[in-house]
Amino acid sequence: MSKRITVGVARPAAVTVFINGRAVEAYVGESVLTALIAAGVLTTSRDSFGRLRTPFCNMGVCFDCLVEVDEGEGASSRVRACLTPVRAGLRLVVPEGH
Amino acid sequence: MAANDQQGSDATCEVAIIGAGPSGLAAAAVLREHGVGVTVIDEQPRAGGQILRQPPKSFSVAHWLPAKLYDRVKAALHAVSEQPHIDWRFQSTVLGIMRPSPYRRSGGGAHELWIQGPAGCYLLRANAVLLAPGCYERPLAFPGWTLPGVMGAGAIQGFVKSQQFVPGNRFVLAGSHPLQLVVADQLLTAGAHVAAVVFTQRRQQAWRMLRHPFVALRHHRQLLETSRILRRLRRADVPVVFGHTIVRADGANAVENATIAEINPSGVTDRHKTQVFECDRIGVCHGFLASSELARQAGADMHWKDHAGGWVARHDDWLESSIRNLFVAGEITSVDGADAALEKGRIAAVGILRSLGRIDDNRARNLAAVARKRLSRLQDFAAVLQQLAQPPANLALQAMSDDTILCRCESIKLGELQRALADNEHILSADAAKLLTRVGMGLCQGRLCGDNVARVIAETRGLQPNEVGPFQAQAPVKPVPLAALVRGRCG
Repeated sequence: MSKRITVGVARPAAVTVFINGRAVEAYVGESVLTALIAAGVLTTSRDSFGRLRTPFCNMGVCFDCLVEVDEGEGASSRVRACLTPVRAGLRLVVPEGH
Repeated sequence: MAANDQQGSDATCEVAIIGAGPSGLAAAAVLREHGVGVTVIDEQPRAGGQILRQPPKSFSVAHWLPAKLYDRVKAALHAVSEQPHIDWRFQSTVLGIMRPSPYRRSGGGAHELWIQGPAGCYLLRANAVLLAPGCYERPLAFPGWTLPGVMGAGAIQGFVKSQQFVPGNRFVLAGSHPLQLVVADQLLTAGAHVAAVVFTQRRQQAWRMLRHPFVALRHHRQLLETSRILRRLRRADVPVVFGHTIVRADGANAVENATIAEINPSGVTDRHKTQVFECDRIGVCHGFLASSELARQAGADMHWKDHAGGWVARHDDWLESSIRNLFVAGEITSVDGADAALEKGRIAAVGILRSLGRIDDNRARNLAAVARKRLSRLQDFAAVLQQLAQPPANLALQAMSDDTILCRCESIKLGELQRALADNEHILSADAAKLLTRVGMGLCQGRLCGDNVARVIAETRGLQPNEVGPFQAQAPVKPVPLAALVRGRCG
């Protein structure tokens, strides 16, 4: 299992984000990808053939961590999870099945 | 402008710096000292580049990156990171370097950057541009490399350094670059298990180069750090295996183990001599490719430096590319490491001052003298490191089997490319292969497969990878959502 380092690290108070509707704890400012992997989600998107993709570079190059952010009222956007900071109440949509 | 006060509207600046890593930061400091207006653009939320990927502002981390090897880049970061006179534009992607339209009345500027920022897309005009986009990991494609849990070693390091997060439990690091020792050490310190660190080099080969008197005398600091890390790994019972390469990753839904095989003295992988390590994450580490897409898109002259970064930009003594007032610094000129990148940034900044008429030739020469001297010493070391860190010739080709996915985005297997090459003798370039097979056609725009595709074509046709060429780079050099275009200007 992955884990957040706590020794010598002070984080802000935890907030809730939603992964496919499931509430998980995360910290403002950490990357969405960190929040996802900490919650056990390693497959973040599908390729153009619908096959599951998994992050490789963690620096905005591979686009394997492209996730959908549900912005409400039917609107959504796709962001690179590795470059996007967590904010409270974020609603993330990732492929089901893993 | 206050830090990160990001406008979504068109703007003009004196000098735009693309990349807030060592080169960009060092250049910004020199330009500010001379009163030049600087705008720094970076995709990350904070300055520092990959080498100093900072923790989020909302975190406080005691003893962040204590190792001495970060001292000089840290000093450069601290010199400018809180500078209110620099216009910082973070979480912003430069989609293209465009020439201003002659048909539009513009506010001047030699170059127009097409930028996707948090508030949408806009144009930024600049009298001069410094392109310092850094580099990314050269991926090795091998059976199982698309399984969840296989990442670049640098990706794993990014989680530890910046996110203060250990993205797994038990790690295998495999490759040819000494960076993996640093990553292993940082993982151990963070409390993770390291199952093995695997080097393609044979032990004697590494030792012989490191003991070269030239290296030993001038670079004892780096060598000392390396031997300290090796000692710590030994104390933690982490096997460091030499002369082996990763041949496959296996697991039901994610990585469960890594298989490595011996490389025989003539550089051929012997699949009968294998070892298996249980692990849930694999970090691969075979050197770096310069992020050359913006330079290529802008039309700058490039050349091929293979294990010093793949396609890198040509430049003159002042680090000006073949395009007037488009300067290049850092790994895009050759992957020489962060300390060298600092000096390149300083030289490029002096070159920009000279080009903008702020200083004369004489003053420029004097201002750049110290940086040039340091750079030449650092590049001597970089050349030794590049040679040391080079995987055996053809490792990339040996690592793939017919059904290994070559292009992750489009799920194109090696066999598909080989069949296309066999069926059509006219495929001589990466672009031709792309048209017929869709390799490089996906979201990463060929960044992850381009190098391997070029090697496959070159090998099949009896050419060198530089004769096959990189994929054509077009703006937008990264995919941009339509919504971002609708919200802002689309160039």
